[in-house]
Formats: sequence, C-alpha cells, structure tokens
Amino acid sequence: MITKRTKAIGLISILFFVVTCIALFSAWKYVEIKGDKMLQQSKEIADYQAREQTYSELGQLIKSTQNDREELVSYILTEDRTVGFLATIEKIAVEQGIELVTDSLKVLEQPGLFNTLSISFSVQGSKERVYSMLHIFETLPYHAFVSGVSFRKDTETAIAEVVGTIELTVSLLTYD
Amino acid sequence: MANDVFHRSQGYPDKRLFHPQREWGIGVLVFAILIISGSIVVGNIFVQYRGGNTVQGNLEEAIPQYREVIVQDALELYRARNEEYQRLRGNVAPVPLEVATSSDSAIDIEEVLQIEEEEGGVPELR
Repeated sequence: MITKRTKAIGLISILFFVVTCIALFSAWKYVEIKGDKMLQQSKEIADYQAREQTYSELGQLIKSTQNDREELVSYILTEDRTVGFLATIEKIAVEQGIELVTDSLKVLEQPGLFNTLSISFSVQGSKERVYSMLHIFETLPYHAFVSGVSFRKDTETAIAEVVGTIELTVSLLTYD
Repeated sequence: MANDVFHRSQGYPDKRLFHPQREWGIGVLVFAILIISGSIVVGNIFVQYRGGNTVQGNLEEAIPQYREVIVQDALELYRARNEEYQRLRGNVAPVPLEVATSSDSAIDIEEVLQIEEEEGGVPELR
C-alpha cells in the first residue's frame, strides 16, 4: 500500500525533476542565444579594429608617398593645366625662332583614368631649329609622345627652311 | 526474472511495490545520465564560444595597392626626360623669327630621319 506521504514525495520528486529539466533547457537556450550575440559582436569589433588598422596604415602610406605622388602627377597633364601647356609650347617655339600655329586640339575620351589630348601644330622655320623643336617635343616632361611628323623642304630660300606639321599626343588625367 | 524473484523469496511472490535498492539504482542511473549528457552539452557550448576573443576581422573593401617599384621607375624615367628637356631648352638661344619667302617642295619623313641619324640629333620617334 502506498501512503499519501509517499505519493506526495513521488509527485514532488517528479515535479522537481520536470522543473529542473525545463530550467536547464531554458538556461541552455539562453546561453546559446547570448553566445551567438557575443560572437557576432566580437566579429564586428574585430572588423572595426581591422578597418581602423588598415586606415591607419593607408594614412601613413599616403603621408610617406606624398612627395613622390605629387612629382608623378606633375608629369601628367590635367585639363586645368592645358592652357599653360600650350603657352609653354608656343614659348618654346619663340625661343627656337620658328613659327608655330596650333591647328587642332582634340580630346579623345578613353576608358580609365586618362583621356588623350591630340594636338596638331603647323611649324615653319630653319631645318635645325625645327628638328630641335621636334627633339624638345619628344622630351617633354609629360606623359606624351610625338605621334606624327610631316615636313616639306623650302628650297628657294637662302636659309634651308622646312614647313610641316607635328602631331603631339598627350595623356590627360581626368578626376571623374 | 520471475524465477529469480521466486528463488530469492523462497517460493513466496514478492508483494512489495517499492524496492529501495532498485529505486536508488534507477535514481543514480538517471542522475549519471543527466550529469554525462549535461557535461557533453556544456563542453560543446564551451568549445563553441571559447574562440570569441580570437575572432579575426576581415575587410570587405578592396585596399588599393601602392606599387612603389613602378612609381620609382616612372619617376626615374621622367626625371631623366625632364633633365634632357631642360638641357635642350637651356642650350638654345632665342632667335628672331624668320619669315619664309619662297615656294615649298615636298620631302618625306624617311629623308628627315636619315638626315637626323647622320647628324646624331633627334632620337627615333615612338
């Protein structure tokens, strides 16, 4: 025969067991949810620190390479310096003692950082001076090259003169 | 099992509902199962989250690369070109502009380049 006291103890034991199981399961799920959140936050903090470190390194790189980059950019023509560039070319022509006229000026759009500025000049002057001018064009301190030359010799003058055209192609930096 | 019970009770059927030794045994077994399974669960949780302090961050943004060797090569090239340019401009004294007064005759570029090669002047065109 089972006494009431035994029944009560049995029921309390079962109830205690069930409650304990529920509490353990709840604690387990709670720890799991909080753990996932902690992992996510740890990842975000690690990403932030990595980004901060990279930006710091990039900042130092920008500072340490500033002079070289500025010098390199000075060898590349930009739109705002084009007028000055043409003035320099005309000044060189005056120095060389040749007649120079800018016939055409075309900007060809290219994919990437650079467009192409194509300039055609008519030149007239003594052969030595024109060749010297051509040589100077080839050594212009810009990302440029002489893309075409056409000369005609003037035979009836006392001084040997040539007339012709020089085509100069210059890379033009765009900031878009 | 019935034989065993009858044998141990000397032929009398066992009328007891509770067997303390058996119940204690079941209790200890359940306790042991709970402890072992709980330990496994706790161990898993520990392994799962113990790496929280050593998470490595990674950047999704592409970091631009500064290619110093290429920059230095380009600078050397343009410095040399600039020196040559300055030298050429410095060597030539300004002269008054001469005006052409005669007719022209055509020459081709090969002739020009040939003359230049003989004079050692203008380098090869690119």
